[in-house]
Parts: sequence; C-alpha cells; structure tokens
Amino acid sequence: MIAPHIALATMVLYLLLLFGIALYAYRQRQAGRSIVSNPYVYALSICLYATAWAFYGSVGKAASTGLSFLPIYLGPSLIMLLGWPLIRKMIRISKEYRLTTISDFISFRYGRSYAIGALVTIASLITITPYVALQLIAITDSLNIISGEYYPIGSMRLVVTILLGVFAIVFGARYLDPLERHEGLIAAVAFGSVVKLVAFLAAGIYIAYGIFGGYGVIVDEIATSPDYSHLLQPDYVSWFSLTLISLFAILFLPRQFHVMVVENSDENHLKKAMWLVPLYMLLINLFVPAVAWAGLLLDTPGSADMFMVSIPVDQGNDLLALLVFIGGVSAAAAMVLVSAVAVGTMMLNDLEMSHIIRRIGKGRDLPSLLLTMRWLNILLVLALGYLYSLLVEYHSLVDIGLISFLAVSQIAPAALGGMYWKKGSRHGAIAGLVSGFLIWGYTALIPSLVWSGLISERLLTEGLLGIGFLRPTSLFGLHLDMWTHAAFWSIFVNCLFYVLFSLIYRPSQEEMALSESVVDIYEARPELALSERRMIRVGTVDELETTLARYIGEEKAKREVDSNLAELGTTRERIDAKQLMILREVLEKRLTGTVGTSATRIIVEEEISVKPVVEVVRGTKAMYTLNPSRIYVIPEKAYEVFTDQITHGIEGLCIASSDPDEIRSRWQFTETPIIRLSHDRGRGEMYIAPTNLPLLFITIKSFVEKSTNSIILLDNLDDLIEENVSVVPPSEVLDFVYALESLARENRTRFVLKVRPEYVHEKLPLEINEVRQLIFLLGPLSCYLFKDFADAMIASLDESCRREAIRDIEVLMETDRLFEGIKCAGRSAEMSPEACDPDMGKSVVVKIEPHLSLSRWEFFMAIRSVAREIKKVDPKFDPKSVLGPLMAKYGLKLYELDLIPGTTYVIEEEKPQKSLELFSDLTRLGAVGLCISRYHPDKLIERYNFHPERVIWLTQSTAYEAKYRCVDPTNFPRLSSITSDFLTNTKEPLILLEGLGYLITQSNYESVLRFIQSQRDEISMRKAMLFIHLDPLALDTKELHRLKSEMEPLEL
Amino acid sequence: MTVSIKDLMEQDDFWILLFVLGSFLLNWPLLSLATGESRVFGYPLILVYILVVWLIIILWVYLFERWTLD
Repeated sequence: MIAPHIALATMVLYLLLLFGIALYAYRQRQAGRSIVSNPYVYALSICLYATAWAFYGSVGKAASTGLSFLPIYLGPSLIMLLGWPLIRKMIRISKEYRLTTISDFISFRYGRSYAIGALVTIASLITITPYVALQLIAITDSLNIISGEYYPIGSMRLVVTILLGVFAIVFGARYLDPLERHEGLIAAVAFGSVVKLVAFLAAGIYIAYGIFGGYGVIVDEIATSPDYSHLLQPDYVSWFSLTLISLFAILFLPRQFHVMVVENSDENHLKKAMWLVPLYMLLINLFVPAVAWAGLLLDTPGSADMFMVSIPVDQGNDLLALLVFIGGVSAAAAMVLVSAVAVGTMMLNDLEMSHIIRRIGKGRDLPSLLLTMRWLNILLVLALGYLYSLLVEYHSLVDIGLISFLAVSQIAPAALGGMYWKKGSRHGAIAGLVSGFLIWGYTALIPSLVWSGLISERLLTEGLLGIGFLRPTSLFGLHLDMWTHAAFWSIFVNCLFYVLFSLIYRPSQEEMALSESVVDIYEARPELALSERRMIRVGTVDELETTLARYIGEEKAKREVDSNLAELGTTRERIDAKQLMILREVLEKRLTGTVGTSATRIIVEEEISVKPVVEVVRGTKAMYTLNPSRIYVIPEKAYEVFTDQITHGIEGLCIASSDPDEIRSRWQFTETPIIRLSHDRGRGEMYIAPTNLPLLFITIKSFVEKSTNSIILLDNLDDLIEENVSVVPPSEVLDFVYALESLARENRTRFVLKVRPEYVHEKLPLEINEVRQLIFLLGPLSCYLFKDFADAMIASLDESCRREAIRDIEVLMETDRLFEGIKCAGRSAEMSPEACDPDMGKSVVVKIEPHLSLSRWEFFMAIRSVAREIKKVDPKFDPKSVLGPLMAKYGLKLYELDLIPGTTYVIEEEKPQKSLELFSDLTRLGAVGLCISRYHPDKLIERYNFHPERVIWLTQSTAYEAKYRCVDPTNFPRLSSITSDFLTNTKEPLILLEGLGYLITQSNYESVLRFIQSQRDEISMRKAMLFIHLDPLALDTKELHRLKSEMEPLEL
Repeated sequence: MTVSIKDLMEQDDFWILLFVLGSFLLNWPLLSLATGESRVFGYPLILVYILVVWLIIILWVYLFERWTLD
C-alpha cells in the first residue's frame, strides 16, 4: 500500500505534467511549430475512446461475462474500415461548413434546425453525465485502493473535479472561437493515451508472466475450471448489439467527434489512424482476459472492476500499482476534459446562444459574455458528473458506460441518414431522435435507476401501469439481455420514425439545398444561382464585418474580413457582386463555427428576414383586385391599394423612406412590417440603407419565399435608382431591378411600385397599371443597359480594332444616327475627360441624361447599329456569341437581335408550335401583340397564356361565344380593319397570323396574297412586326415562292 | 478489365465490402465456428480466431496507407 499523500501527490504531479505538455504544445503552435499536426498524435487522440471504462470496466466485465467485453473495441476497429469513405466525409462536411460539434453537424444538415441542435445537446448532456461520473468514480476508487481509503471519497472527487475543470478551461476554452484547434488539449490527450497503454501492458505482462507462468497458464486454468469455463463462450446476441452500439459510439460521442473530426488538421492523417486505432484497441485489450481471470483465480478481494490495481496492491507491487493508478487517471482525465469542452460548446451554441442573441446581444460585450458562458458550461458538465457519482450507486462501471453508448446511438440514424439520404427531413430527424430517446430512457435508463434504488422495482416486474407487455426489460414479451433489448427497440423505432416522417413531411427548400450540399460534398459546387448573383457592394462589407464583430470582437472580425478579401484578390472598394456573395458565405461559416448553426441562422434571419403577417381582416369586400406574379405601377393610390389588399388576407411588406409611424397612423395598419430606407440607424424599426441593394433584395426575397400570398409596396423606386446610379456601376442597379422583376414573376406575390409618372416611359391611363420589362420602362435604365451591351461588344475586340470601333460608334452617336429619333448628347473621344483616363479605349463614352430611354425595339436597333460598325472593323465579329450570356442574364432572347421593326417574317413549320411560342415569349416580355389564329382562343389562352382580347379567332361558325373576337376567314376587309386599328393604337405592335392554309381554302390564294401584301406595306409604315406561320407542304412550289417573296424568313 | 489492388483500395465500395466482411467474420454465426474445445498453439481457438481477424484488419488498412502514400 502506498502512503496516501504520495498517491495524491503523484496524481497531482501527473496532472501538472499534462498541464506542462499542453502548455508546451500551445506555445509551439503559437511559434508556428505545431507538434500536434501529425497522424500519430491524431490517432492517439482518437484512442481517447479507451477511458477508465477500458482500464477498469472491461476487466470487470471479462471477470463476469468473459469475452463479452470485446465487442466494445471490435466495433471501433471495424468502423475504421469505413474511415476513408465515412469519417473522411464527416471531416469534409465539418470543415466546409465550420461545424464544431455533433449537434451542429446534425442540426446544420436539417436546415440549421434549432430544435434538433437543442435535442442532441440535451441528450448529450444527459448521457455524458453518468460517463463523467464513471471516470471520477474510477479515479477515486483506485486511489482508495492504493492508499487504503484514507481520504473521504466525496472530497477527493471534488478536488479531482475542480482540477480537471481548470485544465479544461485553460486548454479547451481559452478563446471563444472553437475553430482554433486546441493543440494543448490534444497533446495532453495523446500523451495520456501512451501512458495508459504502457501502464496497461506493464500490468498485464506482470500479472500474466510475473505472477502466473504465462498467458496460456491463466487461460488453461479458466478453460478447465467448472466455475469459469463459461467465460470463453460469448453470448452472440449481446455480442452483436454491443458491436453495433460501440460502432455508433466512436462516431457520435461528443468527445470522439471532437477529436476525430473537429481537431483533424489533415484528412490524410485518417489513413494512419485507420490502422493505428484498431492496433491500439487490440493492444489495450490484449491482457484484459488475463488480468480479469487472474483476479478470479487469485481470489483478489474487492470489485472485479478494480483488479487492474488491486492485484498489484495485493501482491505488494506498489510501484506497479502506482503506475496503473496513473494510467487510470490518464484514461479518465482525458475523457472528462474533452467531453466537458465539447458538451460545454454544444450547450452554448445550441441552447443558450439564441436566447443571448435575442435578449442580451445588442450593445453588450458579446465575446466576453460568450466566453464566460462557455466556462460555466464546462464547470456545469463536471459538476453534474460529480453529483451523479455521489447520488447514484452503480451496477458496474461497464453498465454506466453502456447506458451512455446506447443513448448516443440514437443520433446515428439522423446523422448517417443525413449524410447519405437526401430525403431525410427535419421532421424525420426529430421524430426519430425523440422516439429513440424515449425508448432508451424506458428500456435502459429506468432499469439502471431501479437498480440504484431511485425508482420502485415494481415498474420492472409489473410493467408500466401494471401492463406486463410494457415491462422495460421485456417489451412486448421480447426476452433478450438488457442491452440487446434496449438497443433493438430504441434503434428500430428511431429508424422507423426517421424514415416514415421523412417520407411524409418533405424537406423544405432550404433543407433540400443543404442536404444536397452535404450528401454531395465531394462534387463541385455549382455557380451561384443567377438571381443571387445580382448584388452590389456598397456598404455591405462593412455591415458583414459589424455583424461578425458582435460575436468575435472587432479586431478579429477586421482581420477575418481583410484576410478573406486578400484571398479573393480584391479590396473593400473594388469587390464585385460575386465576390461579395462568396465573402458573405465565408463569414457566415465563420459565424457558424463561433456560435453554431442554429444560432447563425437566427442572427442572419434577424438581420435580414421579415416574417409575413396578416392584418386584421376587414369585413368588407376588397376594393381592388391585383393578380399574383404581376407588377403594378400605381402613381397616386399606391398606399390605398396596398392597405386594401393587406386588410383582406394578403401578407404585406412596405418599403419606404418615410417615417414608419407616420405611415402606420395614416393608413391604419399595425402588423404589416415596414422597412425604412434610410442611412440613419433608427431605434426599434427595421431599416436598410438605400445604397444597400443586396440586403434590400435578400430581405424582399426572404419575405416572398416565406409567404404564400403576398404584396410588396416599394415606394420611390425612382429615387432609389437615381441615388444608386450615382454611387455604383449602373449594371448593378440593372441587376437589382431585373432580379426584382424575376422575383415577382416567379412567385405568388404582387409588386406595387409608387414612382413619379414622368419616370415611366409608358402611358399610365389607369389608377392601377400592370407593367412589364421594368428596365425598358423606368428612367434611363435602358440606356445603361445599352452601355453595358456596347461595352461587352467592344471588350471582345482586340486592341487594334477597339479604338477604331469606339471612334466610329461615337461618331454615330454625335450625328444622332445611333438612337433613332432620340437626341443623345454623345461626346467625341477628343473632347471627353475620359480621354485622359488610363482605361480609355475600353468602353464607349455615352452621356446618359435622366430623361433618356430606349424602348425594347430601339434598344435592339441601337445594338444592331453598334454591331454593324464593329463588323466593319472586325468582319469576324459575331454579336450573338458575345452578347449571348448578357442577354440570358436579362431575360432577352437571341432572336431579338434579328427582329427588325417594319418587317414581315415567315416561319416555316408543319404545326405552328414555334410561332406561337415566339409570340408568347415576346408578349410575356412586354410586347403588345395580336394573334390571328385558326385555333380556338381557349386553347391559346390555356396553353400559351394569351390575353383574350389579343386573340382573333378565324372561324365561319356562328355559334361562337361573345367574349372572343371572331372574324370570318373570307372577310378580308374586316380583318384589315382590325389589324389597322391595332397598328394605329399600339406602340411597337406585333401580329401573328396563323391559319394561312385555312384562309386560302375558305377563300382563294390570290385574295390571301393580296391581303398579305397590303399588310406588309402597313407593317412597314408603322414599324411593326408581322409573323406569319406557313406550312410549306400545304402549298405548291409556285404559290409558296410567291408568298415567301413578300416576307423575310425567320429561323428559330 | 481488371483493376490493380491499389485502385481497388481507392474505391469506397471496397471498404464497405471489407466492413461487411469483417462484421460477418467477427459475429455470429461465423464466430460460433471458433468456439468449442479446439486449441491453437495451446490457446482456445476463439481467442486465436478473433486475434487473427483483428490483425488482418489492421494489416490490410496498414497496406492501404502504405500503397496510397506511395
């Protein structure tokens, strides 16, 4: 027996040694000479898995049930075979999305769900508590064995708990940012793995070869003993279930996830760990049977769990006993330290952070507060473990550990399903987790509490409410060993509910996007969605930095932003839209690493998200009817219409530069959110700087996507555009406007724009005017679009052609030959200040006056003119290939480059499919058209969404409905009159004539030809466009030729 | 067309197969083949069997690491 003070002093010295190693590793890291970033340390840190349970508990289990302790270590060895496909994927996902705990890992996958994160955290805290208690029990009991019960157990455990708590805080929670790998902690853990292995092997060799004549002697005696020979016969059912749950445990225990995934510095280290870890497991278990059975044969007093230390003490080998004791302390301490840090971080990120952000965050010193919370959490984890160790008696060390393992196994279906099954949804994960934990609690936790005397034994013997079928250890009459029974029911029900609820409740859009990015983590990420690339930069980098600074401090946030800007190769002033999106993503991930996924979601949502609400519905009928997916310009009564809609069940969002209180009191709405466009930060109101178009767009988009039926009022879009074009490249304003238009078209929302009538280049005859193609409608946007297109064409030329092309174009502009009918104050290259600009010679100098605008056709005419000039300089120039991407970006069609006003086109095809699609496209994009067709209007309206008033049905039937306009195919004067009226009263009109064959058969070829010729002349004079569908097989060659000579062919 | 062992080892499916194989070898019913009175070098067959399968797993992964590093 060792003197109590020596034993205690040795333990304290050993912990100080660990302190010293951790400090050394930390300092080396600071000096850039990491001693931890190597595969051996990585593998040894994973061997943290072998805790005091392995040191003592396995021996106890081997003494009672023989080889049945082995599956706990076979499971991890087997799972290492899946290290490369499975664990590497976990590492890749975690690194990519900065996930620093198992709860973040799972909650992120299921749409950054706060509920799942909280559930996993609470479950982890519950399951880790007995495990921590087990370690503390092991340390103090082994101390008492070697020093003879000198110290009160409670006090000793308290001392150990405090020491470990300080260590965990100093080396595991020094900084708020958990992304910094804790090299000190890992170095201590790896060192501890070596110490416990050496201690175990030393004790094993001593017992097997020092006391007995060899390993074989012990095994022989056991095999031939009638009392102990059964120890060589494993129970296969429990063998399988223990293998399974230990397999899950090494993946999903918070401490294992931390060392294996979070602390990994290089995926290739995994390759070494894949064989080193199983080798370690083999070595540390090699002498377990020998020690356990030797204890039985020697009739060593005390619990079999403690044979490892009690045999050397009993044999008088105090030095070995001390070494074994230190090995046990090493095994226990590492587990407690890493678990406390990991679970403490989980508690902060997934339980406390959202409340902190919502209630305390604004204006307080958040970084310090969050750091303090982390320390308190670590101490809480240790305190709970300590209390548990005092209050609850244990059946055996192994049983305490198995309860934890089984609980952690409940995470497996959601975690593994989330990594490989895209259909796994949040509802499924929650259902699986809740049901699994409930079954675990009933079948595993309750029996252990019964054994501890905390719950009546009646529940075990008679079942819940006296129903025998509901006995916790034999549910529905299934008789298995307790662990297999609990494992079977909990994992079965968990998986069942996970799959079932995932199939019933489909993932949301956000979940689908996240599931694809997780499941397909190795695939190249696609380009940002077109609509999300249209952002501008002004003010946003600063705002991102400010948000980040609230959680990690100003200096760190600035360093983070600067380093990311350097990596992107840009600066705060020069950053473009795409780079800004990338920066935002990177910083969002950074925030995730600091505060967890669900908290990041809250921060991001609270910063930019507006939730749809419905005002109190008025009893009267709505006065106005606005259709979804439309944009309306309402110069005078915008607020009146808006209020009418939101008080009749439509969710609204108002964006204005006026005082929100004034708006509310004037228009009598209380719930509808109002965002104020202002550079000044107000109190208690939502505001966005008018120059922060990306944030404005994201806010509107987020609102629209959350709502099923909404209306948005955007007051003073004209002022917004004018303020921004003076600050940012106009192309970015164009992007914003087009993105808004696309958003309106693609969602069930109504956009109401309040703009000055003179800013709109169209007559607004009504109170409520439905509009399209905002770029061609509002202010000088179309001219900015022209400049973009012209610059793109110029940029595609080589240096020698470029200057000449620019000169020619500017001559065109000066002589008013470019924009037909519109005065443009172009300046010559010699006179313009840009002549001195070093970038001169790369773009066209166009002076854009606010009143200038181009209609869609004028725009294309101008583009064609520029293309013609360029072709004179560079005959190989192809405008379609140069402008294709730009046209797609703004929803323009390539064939529009070929459409010349005043032209009659023929489209040859058997059925008029392409003709009707062309007409539908052009009218959808804003052109006003008239369709003269043989098809019934219902069919055209349904299939192509034509407006009923824009369809003329060619029919001789008299039984037609009054709502459609019909014309007899022989009545050419009537037909001519209709087209003439239409051409006279419409700006940039286009006509589609389909049914030429029908006209010919009902009248005669010559009449039709004369009709076409007359229409052609009128089209030419009115600068309209006429498209005629022609089935070439319906006419003979001569007739076809005569008709085609009147028209231009159009290839689609 | 056959692939080399090195290429085989680089495939995720191969490791899944090995995992399944290892799980079968170290569980019932195959494990029950090693129980009984038989001895190998004086040790019960079951101990030797588990040790050998375990070592094979370690060796196989060790070779994977060596070959892929090469």
